[in-house]
Amino acid sequence: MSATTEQLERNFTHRFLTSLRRINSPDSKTTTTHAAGLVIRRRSLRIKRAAYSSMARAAGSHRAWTRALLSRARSQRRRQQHDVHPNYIPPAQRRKSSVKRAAAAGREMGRAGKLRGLVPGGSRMEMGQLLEETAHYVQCLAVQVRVMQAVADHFSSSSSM
Amino acid sequence: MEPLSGPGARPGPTADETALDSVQFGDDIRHLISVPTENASSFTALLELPPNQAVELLHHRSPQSTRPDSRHQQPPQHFNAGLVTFPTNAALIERAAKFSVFAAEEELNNGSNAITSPDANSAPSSSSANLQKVVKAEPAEAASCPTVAAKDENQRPSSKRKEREKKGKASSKKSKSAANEDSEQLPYVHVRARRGQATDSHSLAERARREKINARMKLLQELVPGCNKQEKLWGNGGGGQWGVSSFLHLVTVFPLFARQISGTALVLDEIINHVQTLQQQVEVLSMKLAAVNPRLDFNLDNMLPADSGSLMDSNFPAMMMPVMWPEVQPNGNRQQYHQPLWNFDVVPQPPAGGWGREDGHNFMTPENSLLSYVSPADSASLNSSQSQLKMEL
Repeated sequence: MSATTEQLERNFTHRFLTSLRRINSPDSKTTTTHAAGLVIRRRSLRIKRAAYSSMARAAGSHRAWTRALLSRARSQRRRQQHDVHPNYIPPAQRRKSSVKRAAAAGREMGRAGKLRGLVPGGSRMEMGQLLEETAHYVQCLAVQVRVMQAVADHFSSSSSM
Repeated sequence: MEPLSGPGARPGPTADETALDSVQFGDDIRHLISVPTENASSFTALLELPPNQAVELLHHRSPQSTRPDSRHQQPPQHFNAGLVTFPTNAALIERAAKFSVFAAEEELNNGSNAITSPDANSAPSSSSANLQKVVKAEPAEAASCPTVAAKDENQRPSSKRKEREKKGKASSKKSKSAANEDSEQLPYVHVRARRGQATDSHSLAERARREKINARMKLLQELVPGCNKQEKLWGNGGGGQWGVSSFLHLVTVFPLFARQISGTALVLDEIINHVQTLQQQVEVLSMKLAAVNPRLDFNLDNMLPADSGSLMDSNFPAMMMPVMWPEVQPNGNRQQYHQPLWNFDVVPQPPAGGWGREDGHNFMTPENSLLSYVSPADSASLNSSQSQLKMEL
């Protein structure tokens, strides 16, 4: 493991645990009206989003995919906060542009299009940059999975004690 | 000034080494230089012709080392100070090209050696600054492949400058790969491009781009496990794989180069697969964490890279608490439930027991809901809900 990977891991772990703490303790947002299964689901979604955000912040904003991820998270959060109603339909332009971009990524047939769909911000990059960002993204994903696994193991193991 | 010493000891560019005693150039240059003596204003001329001049200097210096001739001592002084608009760039380049025929590789090497020393000492600093700026670009290439400089100077100066102004990485890669090709051929190189490839700037740029992309693919292959077995056709250097059109039109090239492309396609498939796998793992782990979680005080600021070990260590004081909890809980029959549920059962107790955190109260509410769900239910129903969640995901 190189020095940058270690630093990334440390950074990510710190942020991730901080956000976990924030999620688990005083949630004013978790309503008790939902069934318990849904609570787990919503919490898992929140944890997943927190994991990606903290990884994007830990990796630094000189990478295009981190910027794209963070802006996506920000817009998602804004959308969540503003429209309380679950059946809210986003304004037409936003939908159109995202659909167009997705279609463009899908129209470019084959593997490259799929890869663009997977990597955040991939539809805007050209091929060379896409490959570079993919490499970095894969590295960061590996770190993320490792840390999350360790955290989950730790908590589940210590609960058995 | 002083007589020329061996190739190693080079005085500044103002001194003798400007190769006016070279076979072809000597008379021309002397004639040219004698006109503007110590003309400082010709710096602008210098600026206009950096590549030319570098070329000249390259070849001027090198023969100095091999043919020490103290014939032209005084004009060389002015060479850098008052430099000159050369009459015809093209004519001189041709000369330089011809000269390169005689300049075998060692001379170019000497030339590159010579270039580094003038960087240290030169009287007219600005001219030397220009020279350094220009000449440094040359040694970068000359050091790696001596034949490249000869190749480069054959191109027109404008195109060469344009290409150098492109990402230097691309140009050096391009020249390196071209040099690799050329080294198989004869030493005196007039080859302008790779064999059977066009030289216009478009195709050169495309080639550079393709090579950049292939280099990145190789890096990716190393990252993604399981790609190394597909060694199919990377040895070609990827030059022939992509169609003339842009890389994005991968599909159009598939039928033509089916056998060759399959290597890259497989690699891309592997990469996509790997990314999808990782993302799925994140999903699963986040769900696991959501199920396991709300227990401890996450006081883990001092994290070491070895996660599992350090998690244990730094969390030790916090772990005292959960150890106490199972003793506190009233219902022994809770233990039959699914393991993660322990946490839900256990949690409401310590806040009541005065955990000391201000958010201890709020812990009750979500967990109470879970508890109320859990108590009438069976572990079976909970399992079904979890499997249901998995299906949704």
